[in-house]
Amino acid sequence: MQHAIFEVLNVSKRFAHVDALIDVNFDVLPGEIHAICGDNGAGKSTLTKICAGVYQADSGEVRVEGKPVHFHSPHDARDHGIAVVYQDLALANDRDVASNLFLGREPLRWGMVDKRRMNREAREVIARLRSNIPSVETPVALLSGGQRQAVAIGRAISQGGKVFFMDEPTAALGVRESAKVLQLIVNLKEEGSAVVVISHNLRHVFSIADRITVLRRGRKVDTVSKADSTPDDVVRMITGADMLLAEEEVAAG
Amino acid sequence: MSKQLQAVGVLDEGEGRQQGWLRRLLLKRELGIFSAAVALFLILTAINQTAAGNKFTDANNLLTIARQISLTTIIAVGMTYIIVVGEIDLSVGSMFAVCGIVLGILIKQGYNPWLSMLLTLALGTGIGFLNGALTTMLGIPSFVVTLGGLSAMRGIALGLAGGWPVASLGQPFFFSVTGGFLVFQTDVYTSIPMQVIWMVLVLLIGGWVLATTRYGYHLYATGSNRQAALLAGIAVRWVKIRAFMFLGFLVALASALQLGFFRSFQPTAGQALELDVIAAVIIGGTNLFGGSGNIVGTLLGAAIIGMINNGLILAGVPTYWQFVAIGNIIVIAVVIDMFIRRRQK
Repeated sequence: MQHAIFEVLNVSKRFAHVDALIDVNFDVLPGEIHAICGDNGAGKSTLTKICAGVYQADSGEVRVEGKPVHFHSPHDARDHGIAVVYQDLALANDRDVASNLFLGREPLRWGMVDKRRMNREAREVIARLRSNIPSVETPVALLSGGQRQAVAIGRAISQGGKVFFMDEPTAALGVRESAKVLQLIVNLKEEGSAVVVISHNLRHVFSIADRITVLRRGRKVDTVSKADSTPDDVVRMITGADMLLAEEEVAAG
Repeated sequence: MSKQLQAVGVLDEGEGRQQGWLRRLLLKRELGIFSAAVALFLILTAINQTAAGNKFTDANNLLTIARQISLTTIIAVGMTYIIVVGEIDLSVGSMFAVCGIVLGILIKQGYNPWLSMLLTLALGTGIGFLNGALTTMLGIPSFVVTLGGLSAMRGIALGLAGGWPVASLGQPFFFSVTGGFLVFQTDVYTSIPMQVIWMVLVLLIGGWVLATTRYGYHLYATGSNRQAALLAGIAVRWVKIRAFMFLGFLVALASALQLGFFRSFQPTAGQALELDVIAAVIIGGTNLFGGSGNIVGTLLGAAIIGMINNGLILAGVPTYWQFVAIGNIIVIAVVIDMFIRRRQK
């Protein structure tokens, strides 16, 4: 049995009168792609933000490599190797690829930004992603959606992440672009990183994920391995159709 | 491997055409501004050509233009930072008056002029801090904060000076450094206004910081996508406050140079200065909504305005038409800029 690289234990989070998360357990194994699915309001993004240090849980525990941690800010999470690629990409459109990859932590030389080193390292990251970005000096605004997503993922990689959280990585992309981003995610896994993908798109989830965790109304329904389940099973878990069925059986009982 | 590369190559074609180098060069925004400046220079040269020689291209006249644009350019360097970071400062003209009047009063009171200048620079920096803090901490748009400052500080300048200019100050050495001329006695007699030397210094330092330092990178990142900058751990508020402080510092410096040149200071000085400064920055290709622009463009923008003002006067065109010309150029510059941006997409 592999030890989890990242765990969330009995985490709950309440906003005003809404229970966003209730007693959720969730773990990520090294080198796996773990998908989190659920309907709108199921608690996916709350869970992601707790993992990323944006929110703090009301109760429960977060562990990195078995050790309990407290994330007070996104910075803390990043220091523990948690890298998040946000849905809105968070790129500075006017700036070139290299500047975006090193946003906020530009390498210095003689008090100046070491543009040459930045470009060189950016080219390495882009090569590692096997992305077709023409030049690291292209402004991000001129890139396609998939290329932009590659820059966002590249930034997470160059920050030295161990666990990558990707919030709807394919939501804004066309079919061909999505395929490339999914390939990027598989490449990350092949390099030994753990990836958590938050997605609505079950076809994408089933094409790459090893395990799938389903949330509904703030509770975890179950974590299943892809091998043991079908998209239909997952849809039933997301919508709660199995519960209805079970309730009907009890009623008929 | 080669198969994979081929597949990627096929996708490339649909996704973003490679542009030819000539096309890319023509779409460079700096080149557009530069050609506009050159074209304007040639036109003004042509209309000022007389049998006795050319009044416009005369070396002394060109130095005069450089002097005339120097204070606007110095302030425009700071304004470039402010607009790149996605803010605006309308209070520079009034701030200019307050700083100049305070410096004049200090010198008249008998304080050491250098110490007084230092205090004035601190005052400008402090006013900039206030503008920045009100904007970022209270979340009041900088347009509103500095519109208030535009009115309030003009009142303060007039009040401090009692409505009269501050004059008869003495201090010839101080004035020669801030507003005098650097005289070279060679076979050709030339003298370079000190204001121009100060302007070159500010351009070099301001351009270097914006283009190469981490702070410069953070200015662009913040102006381009504030949220992204925040998520990347950039202290967005502090980046903005520092830009306001730098602008305030340069406004105070400009007021000292003005005082040095005229050896007196009018409390009404710098009226509508903010418009010239912002026009120079915008004509220079800085995006009014932040995220892009540079100091070379700003210098060219200021030079374009300076050449129009000077060249049209020499040609005997009544002053009012200068305003019309500059107004048109601002709009044309922004239209060309939008066109280039759309083409790049």
